[in-house]
Amino acid sequence: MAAKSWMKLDNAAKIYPAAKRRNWTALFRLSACLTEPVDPVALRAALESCAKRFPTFTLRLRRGMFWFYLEHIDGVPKIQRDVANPCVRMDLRENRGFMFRVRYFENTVAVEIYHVLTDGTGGFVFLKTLVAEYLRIKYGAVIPRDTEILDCSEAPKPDELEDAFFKYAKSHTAPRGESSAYYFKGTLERPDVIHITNAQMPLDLLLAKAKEKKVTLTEYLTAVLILAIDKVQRAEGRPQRKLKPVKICVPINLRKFYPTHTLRNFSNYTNPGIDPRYGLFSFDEVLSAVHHHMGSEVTEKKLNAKIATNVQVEKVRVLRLMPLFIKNIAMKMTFKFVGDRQTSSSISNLGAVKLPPEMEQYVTRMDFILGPLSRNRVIAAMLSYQNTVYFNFTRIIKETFIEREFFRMLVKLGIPVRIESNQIGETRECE
Amino acid sequence: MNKRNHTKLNERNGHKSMSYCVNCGVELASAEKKCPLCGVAVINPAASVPELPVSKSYPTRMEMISRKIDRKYFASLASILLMIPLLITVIVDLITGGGLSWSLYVIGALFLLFVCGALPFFFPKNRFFLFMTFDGLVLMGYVFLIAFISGGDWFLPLGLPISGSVVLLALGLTTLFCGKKHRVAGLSKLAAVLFASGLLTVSIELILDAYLKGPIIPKWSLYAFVPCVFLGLCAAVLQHRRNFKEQIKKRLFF
Repeated sequence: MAAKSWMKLDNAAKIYPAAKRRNWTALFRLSACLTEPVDPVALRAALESCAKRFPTFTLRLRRGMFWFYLEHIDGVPKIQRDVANPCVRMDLRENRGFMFRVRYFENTVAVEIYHVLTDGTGGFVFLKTLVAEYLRIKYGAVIPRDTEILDCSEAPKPDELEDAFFKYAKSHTAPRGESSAYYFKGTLERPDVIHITNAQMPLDLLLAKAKEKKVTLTEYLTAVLILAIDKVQRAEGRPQRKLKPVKICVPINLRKFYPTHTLRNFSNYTNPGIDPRYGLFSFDEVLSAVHHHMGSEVTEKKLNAKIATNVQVEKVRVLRLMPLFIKNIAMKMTFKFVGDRQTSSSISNLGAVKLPPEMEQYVTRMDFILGPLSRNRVIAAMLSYQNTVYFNFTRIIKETFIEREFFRMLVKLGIPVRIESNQIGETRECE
Repeated sequence: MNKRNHTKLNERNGHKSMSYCVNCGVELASAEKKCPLCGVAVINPAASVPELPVSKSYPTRMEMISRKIDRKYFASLASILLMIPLLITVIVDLITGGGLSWSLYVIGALFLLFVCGALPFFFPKNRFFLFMTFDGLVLMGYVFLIAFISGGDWFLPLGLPISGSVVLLALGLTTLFCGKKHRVAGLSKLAAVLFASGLLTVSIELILDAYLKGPIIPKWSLYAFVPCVFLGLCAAVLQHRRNFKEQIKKRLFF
C-alpha cells in the first residue's frame, strides 16, 4: 500500500486545533445562491471533481509527537442538507475526518470550512470552482478557468500548496502586545444557537458615501461599527475613565502583497479603533482614525514583521521539541488569554466578487459568514456582488444592541438597509 | 377572490418586499414577521390581503449539539494533571536523596488516584463492579507497597485484612446500589451505608485485637456500631413511612 501523503499545518493554522473545543470549531461559511434549486447528485459529482484539484481540502487532522499534521484522505464528505444555525461546531469524527462540509438548501450551495485548511480567500476559490463544476455538470455551462476558478482537469500546482508564511517572512519581527479592548458580554446562548443577521445594501451608494469621506468601504463600515460599539459601551454607564478601547479586527489578505497562489491560510489582521476615554468621537474623527491606522499598518513592511513574529516562534528549537500535549495546553492558554481579547468585534471583507458572465447568469447572490469566536460575541463578514453589499453579523448572545446601532446609523447616514435573519428563535429543534 | 388573483394583487402592490421596521428604519425581508434587530412586529396595513408564500434563506431545521461529556477527553486531562505532582516529586527526590525513596509513596498514591478517578473514563461504559474490584486490588497493592517500603511485618496480619474488609463492604454496597433489577431508595441506601460502617468498625477492632494478641472481643467499636445500627434502622423504617418522611423533608430542605 502506498504511503499516505501528508503535510504540515501552515503557520496560521497551528493555533486552531489547540483552540478547538467540544462545542466550538473555528469555521467560516461561503455560499452562493443559484437561479434554480440545487440538485444534490450533480453537486456531489462536482465535489468529487473538485476534490482532485484541491488536495489541501481532502485532509484530516492527525496528532504527531510534536505537532498536529494533515494526512490525505480519500473520497469526499457527504453532501448535507443545510440547517438553520450555520457554522455550528463541526464534529470531525461524524464528518469522517474531513474539515469542511458542503450543504445545500433550495437554491443555495454553501461550504463551511475549518480554518485549519484555509482562509476566506482560499475558501472562496474552492466555492467558486465547486459552483462552476456544478454548473458545468448540471447545465453544460462553459466557464473560463483561471486562478480564481480553477480548472479541475488540471493537476494541482505546487505553489497552491505552499506555506506562504514561511516563504515570505523575513527576519525582522514586531512586538505583538496590544491593550485589551472592550467587548459586549450579553447573555450567552446555548452553543448550538447562532444568530445570523444579514443586511443587503446598494454597493454604488456605499462606495459613493465612502468616496465622499475619502476612505475605503471597509474603513467606512469599520468606523460605523466602532461608533455602534462605543455607544453600547457608554450605555452600560461606566465612568469615562473606565471606558475601554473599542477596536475592530480587520483581516488582511496577504496575497495582495506577495506573488503567491496558495490555497492555504495566508492572511493577517490589523485592529483599528478608538480610545473612548479621550471623549466622545464624531463620525469624521473615527473615520480619520481608522483610515490613518490602516494607512500605516496595512503595508508590506509592517505585515511582514507581524508574520515574521509568528514564524520565528515556530522556529524556536525548544518549543519545537516540546511534546504536543504540553504545546496544546500552552496554545490553549494563549488563545484564551490573548485570542480575541485585543478586539471588540471583527469585520472580514472578501471584497467585490466578479464572476465571468457565463457563470454570473446562474448566480444570484453570494454570502460570507464567520463562525462564532470566543470573546467577541458579535462579529461580521461581508462581500459585494452585483452592486449589492451582503453584510452578515454572527451573534451568539441574545441581545441585538450592536447590530441595531450599526444598521440604524447606516440608515441615518442615508443608506437603505434590507434585513433578513435566520430566525433561530422560531426554528424547530431536531437532530 | 381566488388565490391567483391574490397573487396578482400582491405582486402589483409590491407588498411582498416592502415592509419597514418603524423603529429601526430598515427594510425587512418578506419572511420576517418581526424586526430581527428590535423585535417590533411587522405591521402591514394591507394585512387583509393574504401574502404570497415567502422563501427563506435558511431552513427551519437546526443542528443540535449533544451535551454528553467527552469521557476520554476528561480522562486524558485528569491524567495529564496527575503527571505534574508526580514529576515534581520524582525530580525533588532524585535531586535531594539521590534516588527514589519517599517519592514512591506519592507515586503509589497518584497511581491509586489515577485508577480510581481517571481510568474508568477511558472506557465507553460504566462497569461499576469491575472498576471497583480493580480499585480494591490496587488499594491493597498500595497498602502492601507502604508496608514493603517502611519495612514492617504488619501487612499480612493488619493491612490486608483491614483493606480487604473495606473493599468487600464497598463491593457489597456497589452491587446493592447498582443492581439493574430494582432501584434502592435513598433512605435504604443510607441505612445500608450505616450498617456497613458499623460492621467495618467492629471488624477493624477484631483484626487489631488479633494483631495485638489480646482477647478477641469487641469493646470500643460498639460505641460506633450501636448508633450506626440504630440510625440505620431509623432510616430503614422511615423509608416505609411516607408521611413522616415528607415531614422531615419539609423541615430539612436546603
